[in-house]
Amino acid sequence: MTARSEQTTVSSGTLTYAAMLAPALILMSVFVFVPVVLVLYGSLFQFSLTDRQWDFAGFGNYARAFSDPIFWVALRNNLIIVIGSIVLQVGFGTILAAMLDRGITVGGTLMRTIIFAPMVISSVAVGLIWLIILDPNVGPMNVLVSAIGIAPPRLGWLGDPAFSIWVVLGVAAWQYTGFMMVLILAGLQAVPKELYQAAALDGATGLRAFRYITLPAIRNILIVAVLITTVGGFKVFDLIFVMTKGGPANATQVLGTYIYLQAFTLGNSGYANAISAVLLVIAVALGWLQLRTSRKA
Amino acid sequence: MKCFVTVAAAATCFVASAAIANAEDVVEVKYWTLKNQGLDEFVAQAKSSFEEANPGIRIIHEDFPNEAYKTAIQVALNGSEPPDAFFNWVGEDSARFVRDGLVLDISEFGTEENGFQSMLTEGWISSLRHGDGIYGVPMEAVSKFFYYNVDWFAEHDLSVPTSFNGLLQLCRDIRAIDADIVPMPLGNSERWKLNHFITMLNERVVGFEAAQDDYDLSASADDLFTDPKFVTAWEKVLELQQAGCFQDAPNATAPELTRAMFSSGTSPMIYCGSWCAGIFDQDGFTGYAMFRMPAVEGGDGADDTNFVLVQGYQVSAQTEHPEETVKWLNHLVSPKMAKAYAEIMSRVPSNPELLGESDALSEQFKWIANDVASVSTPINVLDVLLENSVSEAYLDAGVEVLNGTMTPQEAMDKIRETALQAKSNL
Amino acid sequence: MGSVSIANVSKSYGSFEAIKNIVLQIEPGEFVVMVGPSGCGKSTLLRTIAGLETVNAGTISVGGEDVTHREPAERGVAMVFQNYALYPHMTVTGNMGFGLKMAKQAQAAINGAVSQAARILHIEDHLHKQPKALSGGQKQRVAIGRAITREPKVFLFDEPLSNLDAALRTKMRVELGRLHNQLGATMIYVTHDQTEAMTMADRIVIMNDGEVEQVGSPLDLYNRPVNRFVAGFLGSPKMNFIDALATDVDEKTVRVSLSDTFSFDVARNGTAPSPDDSITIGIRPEAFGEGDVGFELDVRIVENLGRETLVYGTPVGFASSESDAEQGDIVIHFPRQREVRTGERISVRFSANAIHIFDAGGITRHFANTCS
Repeated sequence: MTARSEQTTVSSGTLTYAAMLAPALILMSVFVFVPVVLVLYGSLFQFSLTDRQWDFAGFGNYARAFSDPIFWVALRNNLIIVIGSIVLQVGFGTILAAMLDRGITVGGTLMRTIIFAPMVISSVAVGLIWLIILDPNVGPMNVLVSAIGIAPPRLGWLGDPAFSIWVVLGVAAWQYTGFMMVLILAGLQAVPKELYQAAALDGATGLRAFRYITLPAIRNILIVAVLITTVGGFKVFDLIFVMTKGGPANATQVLGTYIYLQAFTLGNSGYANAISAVLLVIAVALGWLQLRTSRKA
Repeated sequence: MKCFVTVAAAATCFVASAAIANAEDVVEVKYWTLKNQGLDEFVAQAKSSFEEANPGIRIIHEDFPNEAYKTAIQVALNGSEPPDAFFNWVGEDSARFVRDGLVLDISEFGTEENGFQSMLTEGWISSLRHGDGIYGVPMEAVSKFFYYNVDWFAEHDLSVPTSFNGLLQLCRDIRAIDADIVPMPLGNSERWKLNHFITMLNERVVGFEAAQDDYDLSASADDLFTDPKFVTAWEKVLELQQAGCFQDAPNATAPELTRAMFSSGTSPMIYCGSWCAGIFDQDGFTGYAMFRMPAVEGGDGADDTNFVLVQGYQVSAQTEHPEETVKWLNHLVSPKMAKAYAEIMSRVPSNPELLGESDALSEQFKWIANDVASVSTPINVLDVLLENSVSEAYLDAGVEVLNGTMTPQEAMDKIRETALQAKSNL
Repeated sequence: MGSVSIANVSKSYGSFEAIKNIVLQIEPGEFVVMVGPSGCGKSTLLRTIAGLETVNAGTISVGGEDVTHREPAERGVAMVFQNYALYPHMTVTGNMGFGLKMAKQAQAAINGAVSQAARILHIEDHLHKQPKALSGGQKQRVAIGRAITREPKVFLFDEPLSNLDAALRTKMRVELGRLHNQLGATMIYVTHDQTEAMTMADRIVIMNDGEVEQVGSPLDLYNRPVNRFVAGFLGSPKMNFIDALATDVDEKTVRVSLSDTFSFDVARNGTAPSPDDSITIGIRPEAFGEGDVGFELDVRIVENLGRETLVYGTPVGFASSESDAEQGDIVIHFPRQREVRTGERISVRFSANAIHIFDAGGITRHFANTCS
């Protein structure tokens, strides 16, 4: 009797679990698993959006990617954006947060709001605003730079392949540094003031207090910030699409824009799938790293 | 993916046919266009007169921004609910759909008195003829001219150049008047501006006939894009740059800005499409006149050709109502609607019959319409004409040549390399 | 071991004066407790000594050296915080050795100092642990150990026992006393708890409203408070205060009238009030018992604590103006068990010599004779 009723409970419990998990699983399948499988499958074929005939290509698309100089340019640009954004966004975000946390007492909230504000603007709008600012003919940036005695780049900020990726990097930093600052500021403000006072009595002030007290205290937040920035750096698309479309002459091409170019402009859907698969591998690796670090923390 | 599409298509066809049965013989024609200024007004006008005359047909109009359209139309044509009639650029874009069997041969329709085949000249229709079939209805053509500021030219005693060297001298003369004046600003941030230049320079230097085999990749692998005149055409771009025609950073300048520079009188010239006339008018500047890309000394091109890019409508191969759909397209290119199109959109329609009667059209517009009509061979723009990857290579080469990061010879080497690759994939 | 001289130190935040012109001399090896209600300025004063607050005026000297403008670490002081303020990401060893590490001491010297401090505080077994693995008492020991390793001239304690439970607090009190004896160091200890002050201090500094009210040994302050604030602050339950009139004053006695019908003579020992002055008398709860003055008390509450009994009640014939009992009532402390029931009326006596007399300004005019 007891065993029987227990059995009933177990099976109805399992059913409940299944029912509760089902919507999430179905959504995940439709929007994540199935597309991933399709991308991997499609990467083995040669076809375009309008093709009804898919030609099996094996790993040809992957071989093509690894011998395609623009693929490597795109990957290199992603890495520039990742590393540059970590330095600029997390670095400056930390410095700004430290200044707001301890240095600036008047107008701190106003400063914080101003610095954070770009974050709430869509990347498309940010790109369009900066296109105007950086315009070589009428943009204020050239005027500003000339005023302090520096010659602006002759080919334009976004027209010179030697400059453009760094300019895009700077605009991304302008947009997201405030977010990083707020994130890190929250961490800084959670550090008890007494810790700094104890450190002052122990002889650690200024940079030494930052090194020994602040940094260890916000270590986990910094890890999260670096991961967010890294993931953002690999999936960057909209800002570049609006500002340069990957130009001039592929100088600012990143994997995201290159996938788009191959799939929708050049009609090489199979090849685009293969590049997507490479990006997927990078994303999975980063996700695994994030999971591992957050478990440790 | 294929299976998914097929199943979805079957399901929707079933639903769609059920819906039509219920709608008591009213046929719906789905019609897709780009989102363009004034087009809503024109379509509304065309729709009301068409539906009044054809109570059994209803037009469902949807429009898309330029960037989204190319993708949307490709996906939709393979999908379950393609539009019956849709806008397309005539050239590689339209030809690819023909090759892929996505569009309908409509040569058996529109032959009646007020059908498009009777109303439009063969020159227009031929742009969409592939083999024996006709794969669309040309609606309009855009062309490309040097616009110049008439008063400013008169004031400084400048005249319209008759040769390419004259054009170079004109730039130098303008710089001599005031070194800060940009003679003809080039907004190449989206790459197609210089592509329009090189399209016409290729025509003037290489010649349309000579370039044809390279353009359609039918030349032998040994010959493909090896004509040294292709390099010469690129050198002409550098000559324009060296003569001070352009501003310093064309690759970072938006085309909209250069048009504003011309219409505001900051710059006395601009190489701009026929659609620019309407924009200048709207900006309140009407003191302009036009001339074609002049002949290049020693070039092989014909002089009476010009850039003409035909745009029109194609019909989906999946349509269930080809007759009704073509009827709608006939209506769009009828003399009355073509006149309305010109008046509302400032575009050159494929049917010029009533344009002369219009009071609303400017002198300049009528000049453009005449000029387009007088073109002996329409020269299609490279980024529409060429196979996608070769087109992309040409677009990028323009950027690099302007930036000085590639010499003309390097640019052609790169283009040839891409073309060989594309040819081997055919 | 060092002296601390605080000379005319003031500190204000905007218009709020946290401490006002404080003068205080602390001798080497002394255990001084600064006590007072919240916001009295005791913590601020401690923090100015530590160098965590700058002063607006005055000088602070430690061991004879003017340290007013020195960095906290260069003053020869160490501080123990209420919430321990241990570095959460360092081990106990790291916490205790951090100050020496910052002072660029050799690793061997650091290790020696840490293990010695650990031995003194009996925390040798926890040296490798992180603070989050320690109990509150252990954390406080580490915090003290962190101060010890630096061998400061002066230890500063900012309410170090407030976060501990009562039992642990008593134990740590004793331990701090032992530590003081063992190290012979100068210690300045801030608390709001008068029991800690009474039990630990060599000298108590009572502060109120940014000023020092009185400085002295615990019993001195308890027995001879200079004013009503000090009298009321020390002792638990606190002194009972009763408003009265000085009706008759001569060279030897003051006649104190609690009401029209209740008055008694007190042999005076301070500056006499004038006749008909409003005065307040203070009687400590333990001062009731035997004596020449008697009254009736209606018992309200009885607290039997085993070895002592506290009785809260309403006196007949007069009322208190301030006490630990309810409005108008008084508290009586019997140092033994006593059978009293709520609602009962009992007779209570006290000695006229056992009262303090304060004038209208709160200044003490007569001290109780505790030796009677």
